[in-house]
This record gives sequence, C-alpha cells and structure tokens, in this order.
Amino acid sequence: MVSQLVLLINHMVLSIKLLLRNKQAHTQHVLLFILGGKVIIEDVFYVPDMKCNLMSICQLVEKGFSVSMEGESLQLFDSKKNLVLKSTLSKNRTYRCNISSDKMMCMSATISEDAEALWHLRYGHLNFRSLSELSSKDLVHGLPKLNVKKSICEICVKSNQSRLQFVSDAPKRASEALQVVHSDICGLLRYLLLVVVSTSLLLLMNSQE
Amino acid sequence: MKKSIKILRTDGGGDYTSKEFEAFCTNHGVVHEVTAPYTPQHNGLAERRNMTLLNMTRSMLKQKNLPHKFWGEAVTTAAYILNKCPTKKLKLKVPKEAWCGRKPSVKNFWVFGSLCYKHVPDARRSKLEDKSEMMILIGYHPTGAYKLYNPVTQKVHISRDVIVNEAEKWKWESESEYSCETKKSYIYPDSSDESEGEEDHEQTGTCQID
Repeated sequence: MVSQLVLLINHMVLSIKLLLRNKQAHTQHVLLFILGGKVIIEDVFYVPDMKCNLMSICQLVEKGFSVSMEGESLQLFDSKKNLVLKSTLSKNRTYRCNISSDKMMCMSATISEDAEALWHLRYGHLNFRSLSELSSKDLVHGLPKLNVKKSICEICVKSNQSRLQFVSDAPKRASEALQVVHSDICGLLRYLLLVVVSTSLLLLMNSQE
Repeated sequence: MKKSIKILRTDGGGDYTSKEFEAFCTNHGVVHEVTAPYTPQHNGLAERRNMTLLNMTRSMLKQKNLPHKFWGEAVTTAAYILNKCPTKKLKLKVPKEAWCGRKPSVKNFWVFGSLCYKHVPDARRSKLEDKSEMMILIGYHPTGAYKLYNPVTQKVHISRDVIVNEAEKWKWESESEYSCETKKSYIYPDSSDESEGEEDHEQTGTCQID
C-alpha cells in the first residue's frame, strides 16, 4: 500500500484529532513506517482512508529525529544520524513524500479489531457469532458496526471450554480374533479383571480377593 | 401486560419442595411440575441457560482477576447482559425486547470489574478533598446508575457519576497496603493521579461515541 505523507512545520495535531473522531479510529496508535531499513515513528495519528496524512516536524524532533532543510529539499535523520526521509518542497509549502509499508494495512485492521475486542469484553465475553449477529441485525441501540472475525480469546477458552462431541468414528473393532483385546478392572468386594475379545465379545474373567 | 405463569418446571431440589412454596403455587394457580429425581435432562432449558450464565460469569471474573466473592454480582450482571444478547429462538429481537417491546440500548455497557472513579458529592467532602474515589464497577442499577464496590472500605455504592477506565483493574495483591486504616486518602494503583484517570476516560468515551 502506498500512502502519501505531508510534512508540515507547524502543529497540526488538533485538527487530526478532530478528524479521527469522525473516522473509526479512537485512540492514537503506534505506527511503523518502514523505509529501507527499520525506522519506527511512534504515536502517530494515522487514518488509512485519508489521501494525505500529516506529520508535525516539531514532534518528530521531540521524538529524537533531526531535520535539515536546505534549498528546496528536506532530509530527516534518526537519532543515529541515518537518513530516513528525503523530500522536496511542493507548491503549497509542504513537504510531500510517498511511503510504502505493508504494516499500514495491518494497523487499519487492528483499529477495528480493538472495538470488537472491547465489545466482546463489555458483553461479558459473548461469543463472536452472537456479537456479529447483534451488530449485523441491529438488535440493540448504541452498538457500533462491528466487523467480527472469528478469533480465540484466552479467557473464553479458560472459562468456557467443554469436551468435544463423541462422534461415531470411535476406534474400529477388530476383524480377526485377538487382534484387539479390551480390558478393564472392575473393583467391587473382590477385584475382577475383565478381558473382552473384540471380535466375538468373549469374556474372560479372573477374580481375586 | 397481564400474563401469568401456567406451569413451573423445577427439579426436586429442597428449595422448591417446601409446603409454603406449594401453597403459594396453588394460591396463584401455578402448576408445579417436578422432574424425576436425578434426571436433570428433563429440565434441560434451565440447565443449559445455567451453563451459559456461569460461563459468562467465569469469564468476567477472570478478565479482571476478581476474587470469587463477587460471583453474585457477576451472575446478576451476566443475566443483565444475556437479556440483551441474541438467542436462537428469537430471530430479530433480543430477549429484553421480546419482554418489554422496546429495543434496548447498550450505551451504558462497560467492562465488568473495571477500575472506575466515583464522584464524591459536594456535601460529602470539604473544599480541598479529592473529588473522586477509586472503585470497582460491579454492576448496573435499574435506574441507569452503576453499582460500585470500594475494596478499601468494603462497601457497595450506587452512583451515576462515574468515570470508567476499562483498561485497568484493581490490584488485589497489594490489598493490605490499601486497607491500612491509618491512610485516609486513597492510593491509586500505579501511582497515577486523577488527571490521568480522566484522560483514560476520554479515550473510552470516544469509543462510545463511535
């Protein structure tokens, strides 16, 4: 996925925050922008649907990056003075650059998953099938549209797990004499050793005090 | 809605076999059916619902590491939640809507057992005292308020002025430190101050708007 990134010199965080309120995202997210090597810019408001996302240079500097602006080009260095970004000044006095990252798609997925996880918890760990039914059939007021995918919740497994069904593909019966011999000890007053030969249900018993 | 119970089907547990209960049933025209002894299969509907209810209860307690003594509150809350959950029998409704005819709202839902801050009414504090107390959310009150538990004083409060931090839970392991009687002020678990709590609410608040 290729997304455009506009670098602005002043703070634009407030307007981005307002934008975010209208979009589905609800908190700030740690975003990974990977350019050539490994560079992580943390705590970035990022809306995947937007054509351009804004970033504040002041805040980048606060995070330990350094910026050099010479002529019409801007260069962004990380704390170890490695070149991270290079872009030229555009007409409206912003610096534009294209960023390609696979992680961006991932992030947009986690934003919606957060809401699902939250409602899963609020609904007392309701199963995901019912949760999606609630959302898709619009059964209650106040529930946002959820895109529920089947996932495993550890607490649900710990508290709801039950035994699997006993379907009829049980171990097969023997086809020859003495191929499979079943045995159990049956303890009453005396011990009883019970041996059953699978083909003929022949019982062989041996009891002991 | 004037409707009455026609048949009450129960198992033969001691709770249902008293003479008083029998008299009550006959007075109100309820037929009391008792299933055969040791045959819970004949009371399948109730037993299956019990399982769902307790599974939810277990999850809720486990999520926030609450001690088992909260099971009663958790079961009540689980029943409240299950009334707003889809069932197989009702196709386009939840049980609550089928019962009272109105589509219920879940806007007041928070994660059970979350850490929350209850507003202390003006009459209950002096000017410079804390305006909020830290508590645990343990249920919903029918009037739209929340039921809160204060582990320090071991008292249950009902309040509608609550800020909920759904990401946090009460730290029980350091309970002895909290319940120290000499300390009058409430200690926040991760030494966070009030403003941080409010900030957290802002986050959860926006979720609700969405």
